[in-house]
Amino acid sequence: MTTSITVTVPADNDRLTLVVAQPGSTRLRGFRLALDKNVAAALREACGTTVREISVRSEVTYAADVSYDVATQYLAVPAALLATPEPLPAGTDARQPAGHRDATTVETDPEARAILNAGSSLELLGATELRKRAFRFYAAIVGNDPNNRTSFVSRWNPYRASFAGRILTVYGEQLHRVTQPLLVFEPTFDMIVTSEGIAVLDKDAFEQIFRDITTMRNRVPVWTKQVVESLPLTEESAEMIRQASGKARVAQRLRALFEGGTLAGRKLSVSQLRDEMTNQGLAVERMIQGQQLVLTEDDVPTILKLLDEGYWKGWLTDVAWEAGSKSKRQS
Amino acid sequence: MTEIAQRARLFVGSYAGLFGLLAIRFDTRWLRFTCIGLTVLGIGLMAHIVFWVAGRTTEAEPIQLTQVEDAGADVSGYLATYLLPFLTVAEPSVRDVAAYALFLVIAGLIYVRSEMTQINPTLYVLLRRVLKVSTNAGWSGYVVARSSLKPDDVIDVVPLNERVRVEVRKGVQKT
Repeated sequence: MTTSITVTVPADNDRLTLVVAQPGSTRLRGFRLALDKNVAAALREACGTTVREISVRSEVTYAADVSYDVATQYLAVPAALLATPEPLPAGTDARQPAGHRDATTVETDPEARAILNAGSSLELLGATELRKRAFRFYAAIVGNDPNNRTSFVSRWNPYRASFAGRILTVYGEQLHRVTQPLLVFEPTFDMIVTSEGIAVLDKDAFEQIFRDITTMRNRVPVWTKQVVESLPLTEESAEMIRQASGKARVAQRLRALFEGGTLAGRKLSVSQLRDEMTNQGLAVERMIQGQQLVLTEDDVPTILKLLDEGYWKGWLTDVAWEAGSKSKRQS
Repeated sequence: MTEIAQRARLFVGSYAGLFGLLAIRFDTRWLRFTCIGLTVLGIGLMAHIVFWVAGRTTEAEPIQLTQVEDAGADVSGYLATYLLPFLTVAEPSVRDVAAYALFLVIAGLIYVRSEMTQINPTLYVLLRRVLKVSTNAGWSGYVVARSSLKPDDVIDVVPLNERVRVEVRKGVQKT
């Protein structure tokens, strides 16, 4: 899929709102910070630097397991792929059949995007209220139309230095103690969120801000259900997958399978599984008993990787490989 | 500036007119000059907010209004406290002065610790209006506006505190 997300350097007269997001026990809370025009100008410059950084890189469409060159490429998450889903009712078929990898969706945490959308209407956070707050990210939201602004997002806690209890000083003729809360910002941002999608320079930052598995845990049963229904599992093995889905890495694999559409509308047969497991040198005799798949807890990540086409053999050496990340071949 | 200090500043500003009336009423020299000083200070603080902070130093943000309500009626109720000067005597005794001061301290405490901060007659003197508004993204509070506003207007504002914002000139788009 060819995508393009238009990003432009903010103009001097573009209004800028600075927001921070604090993770709570159950949800993310967004706040606005008041700022003077000098700080706004410096942040606007950081936005411009980020835009220029993206403009000289080539674009790669995001997928959960995509690999990209962090020095020369950026990831594009087009708005058409972005999804902020609600939990599906029981029995609902989550995805339509998909024959190829272009049919991906990218599920995101709705709270992070809601904070960016609220922007200048968020609660104002005073300096005295900063105490004991840790922030997951900050964002400069730029633009004069409150319904169509561009967000420059950084996975950085600007209050980290003060929060950590360090001795803060400023050096003039001599060192002076800084007693007011000190906020420190990065010279560039990790991603740009526009109405067309998200341009990502730092994939880990995107994953942590918009796709944190703990904030999306209400989606895990939906992802798990699709895998369980696609396989000829014993009831104990199905339960094993459900239990393993509580682990972040397993949940991420389940999400990648769901988003990629690999299993959508598919019901895999024992013979299909036996053939591929044999090809990849997995323990077929132990894992397939009768006409069912019998899994231990340790087998769950292996089977999920097999389903995600993460194993293959070298055609010359017959060496068994497994993929850490993948990049779709362009031709 | 802390929230309490900000509110205290607004309090002094909101009673600038009252101090002016007291200055006119008092014959006692030191009381008169004290009240004149407080009047000048109050007007100066409000003018600083309206003309300096709002316009020149603070970064403005755009908001879209969905509901607009004039807070003028609340201001009228607040004006009842302005009756104080008409209950005073021209040359008050020490006990009279203590009573007036106690009244102002109580009024100040209520003002600083309540939502009265947005009610500020001095702003009307400076040709501003206080409007109770809600935005399309869920914020509700008061806007010190330069003119009348209506739902769907997009205005640029700077924050005075969590509940009060001041409209600034540049970038106003009205439907």
